[in-house]
Amino acid sequence: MKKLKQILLLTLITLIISGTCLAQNKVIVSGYINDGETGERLAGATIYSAIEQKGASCNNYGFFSLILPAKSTELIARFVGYEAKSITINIEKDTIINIYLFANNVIGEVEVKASAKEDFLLSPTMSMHQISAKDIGKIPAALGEPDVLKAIQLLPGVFFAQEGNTGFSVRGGNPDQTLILLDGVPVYNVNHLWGFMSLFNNDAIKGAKLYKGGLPARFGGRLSSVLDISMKEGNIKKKSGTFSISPIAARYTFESPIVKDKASFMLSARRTWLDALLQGYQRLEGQNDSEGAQLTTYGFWDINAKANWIINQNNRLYLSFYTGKDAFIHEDKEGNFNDYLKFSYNWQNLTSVLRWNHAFNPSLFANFSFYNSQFKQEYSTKFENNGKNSFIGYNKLNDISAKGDFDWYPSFAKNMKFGYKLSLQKFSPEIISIKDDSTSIELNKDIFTENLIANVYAEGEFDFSEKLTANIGARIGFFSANKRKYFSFQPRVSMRYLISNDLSGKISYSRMKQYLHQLQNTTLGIPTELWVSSTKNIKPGTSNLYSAGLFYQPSGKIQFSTEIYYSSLQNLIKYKQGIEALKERGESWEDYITSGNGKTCGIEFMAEKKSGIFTGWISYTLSRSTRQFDEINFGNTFPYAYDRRHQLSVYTNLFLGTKSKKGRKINTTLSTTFNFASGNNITLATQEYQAIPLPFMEGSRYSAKWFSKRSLINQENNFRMPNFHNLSISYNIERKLNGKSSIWNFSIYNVYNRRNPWYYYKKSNQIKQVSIFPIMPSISFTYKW
Amino acid sequence: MSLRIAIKTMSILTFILINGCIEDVQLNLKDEEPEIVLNCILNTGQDTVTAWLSKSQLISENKPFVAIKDAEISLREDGVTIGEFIWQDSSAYILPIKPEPGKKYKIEAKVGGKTVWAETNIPDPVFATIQIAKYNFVGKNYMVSLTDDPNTTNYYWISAYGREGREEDQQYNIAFAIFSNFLYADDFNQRVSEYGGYNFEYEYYLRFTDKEIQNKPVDVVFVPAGINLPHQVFLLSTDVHLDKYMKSSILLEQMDIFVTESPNTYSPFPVYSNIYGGTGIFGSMNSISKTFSKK
Repeated sequence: MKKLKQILLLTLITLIISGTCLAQNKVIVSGYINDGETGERLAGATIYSAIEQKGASCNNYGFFSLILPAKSTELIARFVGYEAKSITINIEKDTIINIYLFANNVIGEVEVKASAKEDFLLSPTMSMHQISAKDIGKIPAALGEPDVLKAIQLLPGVFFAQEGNTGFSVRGGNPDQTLILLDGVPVYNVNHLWGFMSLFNNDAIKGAKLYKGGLPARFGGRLSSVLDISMKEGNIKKKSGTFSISPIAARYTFESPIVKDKASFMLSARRTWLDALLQGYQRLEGQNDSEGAQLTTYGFWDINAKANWIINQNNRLYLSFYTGKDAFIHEDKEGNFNDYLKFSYNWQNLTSVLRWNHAFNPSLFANFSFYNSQFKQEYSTKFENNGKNSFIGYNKLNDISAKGDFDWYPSFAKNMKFGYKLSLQKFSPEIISIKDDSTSIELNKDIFTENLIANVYAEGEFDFSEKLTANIGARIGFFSANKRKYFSFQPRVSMRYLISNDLSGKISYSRMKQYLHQLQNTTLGIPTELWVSSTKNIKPGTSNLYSAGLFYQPSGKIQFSTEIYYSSLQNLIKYKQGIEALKERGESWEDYITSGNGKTCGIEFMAEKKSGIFTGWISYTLSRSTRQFDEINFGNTFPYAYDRRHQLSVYTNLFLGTKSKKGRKINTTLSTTFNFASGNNITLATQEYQAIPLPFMEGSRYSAKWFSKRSLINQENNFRMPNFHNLSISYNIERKLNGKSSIWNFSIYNVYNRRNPWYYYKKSNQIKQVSIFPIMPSISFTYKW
Repeated sequence: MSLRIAIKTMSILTFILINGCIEDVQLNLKDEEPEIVLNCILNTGQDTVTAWLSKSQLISENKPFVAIKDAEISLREDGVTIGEFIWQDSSAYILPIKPEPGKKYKIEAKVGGKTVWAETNIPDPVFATIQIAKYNFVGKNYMVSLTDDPNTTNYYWISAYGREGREEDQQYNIAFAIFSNFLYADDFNQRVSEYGGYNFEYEYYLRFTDKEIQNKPVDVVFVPAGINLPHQVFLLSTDVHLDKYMKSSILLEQMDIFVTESPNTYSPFPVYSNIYGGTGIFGSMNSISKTFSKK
């Protein structure tokens, strides 16, 4: 054993030395690829030397590093939607270069071949999709609000929760098993409007990457997938802005250099005017006039802000901030006997992160982050202006973390990534405070959990031959809470074999751990969810994700892929059935949960056309997802709520042409989406039975009749809803003049007015179906300068 | 609490955003084996125990429930059989015994080779006083005073029973709401109130457990709503099964009312049952009450 350790140590030292001390005739070309208009770094852009047949992809901060012979060479930099740029440099020593690419606005002629090939065909990473804010903006959206969380629901393996809802399940996992990151910070609640909109303002984001399987070791903390959303950095070249208005909200984004080419900021705000509509309606109804001042409002807003400072070629600082809030308020200033009554229900997210990019040398790049993410959900009733007489309940989560991520480009591997993360999380669930004139009660104050999580990881991409490339890594985790410790080892492997120049096969395996869980009181997609930590009794969730796929790219414009997957999920938790009746106020959630397992499998197909006047994709998924809990459904396996056997999504974008009028260039496009999916599974009371009235209810009141019958739920998720389908279209007119543009968007959601069921209930011996999204036309407007 | 708030809020949202669309449908439900339904509540204030036995049916059937007549139902007290129930024409089975506080009972029904059964422990007697409260608020204010026994787990339910409507109709019913500021009340059926100086109203009953009032004397002051004098004010002390059955039944009723008033969201709610081999309830309770008339 000791000898083995010595060999391993020796090998490691040799690798490090060989990685940093290059052969004399080789040099390192490193640097950044940037957007020429805004100066933003282009994550995922590629650089390629045709002579050496060697290339590299930029990391999340636009940094690349490439080892080349010390001689004159031509390098081509590319990125999706940008004109490729070729530079010839004579390199004699390690060199740092900055490359600027400019967006190609000639639709249909965008050269995407190399970068697409790098990610799609050559990279060992599989089950990954990337979507830009610009692409998201083209997808028809209900009520004209483009939404990243709805856009990704068109991808294979991503199942929507309910119509119009941002909730989603990736490959049969629970919604809480997707790690949603905003500039690297986990966001614990992503909903506005009870899930009908996400909190991600499309004008403030750059794009998103979704990892559905084969997760690299740098990601951890969730069982199923990662959605990595990045905010815009702020235009470092010139002032620019966007103003958007839709039937539901208005958005304003402003970007500006602080010092040109050195520092910039971006500030974006969004606010709904639902509250104004509500107040207007109530005024018309006379509900809040001076004599009977009653007011009910609902509103939400959010703010994204980011600043960055290029200190020098090797150092850059980023400061990002997000906050958003939803609030429902009912105020009554003239009750019969009370002078004042205020009821409110609100939830708020707050994230902030400071990041420092540092290039130690041309082959070692690091990013250090320190962040805080908070989520609070509160409901309160106040009976006096001063709040002395009140009932307040809240759930709160506070996450403070520090992490370091290193990108190393040694000679023995394409790249190596390693890093660490330390998190301190505090969960304060179901805190209740009740006060009246003489007494006050505080409940559950001691049911909080504080945990410490430490993770280290390392992964490397290795070329074993011209055809075989692998990304091999592992993540080691340590969790401690309430004197209970859990260790984990999470190996990750993904391999690519290049079958021919346009066809590759990939396989992957990932083992994941999740130290926090989300409990849902009901099947509603609203924030009645409760984030809780693993404890001495509640083990961390574990998953094993297996994927295999074929990737075919006959040309740079078209690509096809198919993947099969299987996942096993252990130590999932769920409330016991009937929790609302069982749990007493002041008792811990921990006493009322049951743990179990899940299994998911499926096959996905996707065909995508990435450029030309006609773009879009078709995706299809055949899948199955089940759960088993000892204390639910008599221990029998039952289908998971989002187990949709078939799901088909079609997205098309057709460029209709360009006209010139009074010096203005007018572009028009037509986009459509079509969705078809098997119905989701709901728990339906399929039987009813004779009951006895409750004590003293044997009288004649109507309620006695109700209490003579009860509905009976035999099984969890026992009814599959009818098939879901709808079609949406949007027509865009974009007018451009002198670098400014205005965009009118005309959308129709659910064109043929399909009444997809939302739920069922029974009334007067008749089963009723409720549908909530009929045909909905909308108009939105965007102005950019 | 949060669920009801969310539903209420959701109602407003739906009103603004979406045109709700409701239509009658026929669901293609699979045939399911009906379950045997046994219902029986032991009340120490009654001299006869009544049990109902029937079968469940699909929600699409819409026909009256049929009682099972040919069953053998027995009752055991602390492990000893104390009697067999007799079928009555009133579609129920009866057994003329008076259940005793503090004892354990088991009911067993045999129906065509199947047996369903359940157990209950009758709570110990509860000692409380019921009187008129000296509050200056509107309505008849009552006060129930009790000191909890720390050695037992108790589930308390307070309400009142009274005349409904005109005197000559002689209709009686439970109060549709209890108005109170009692801090230890369970909020599951709570709404914010604007009546008579009380902050909250509770649908039908005001429920509380002894979890927060161990060894503490408490006074529950309240006004029953929707009934006229005479008022029979009562305090129930139930076993855990009847308690959960009552609570889940009221929650289900609330959900059904919400869905009718604001058809935007619905989550079916399972009603508690402690019947092995079937469904229904076998629970027990003690009660004390006092009647207040005009005089």
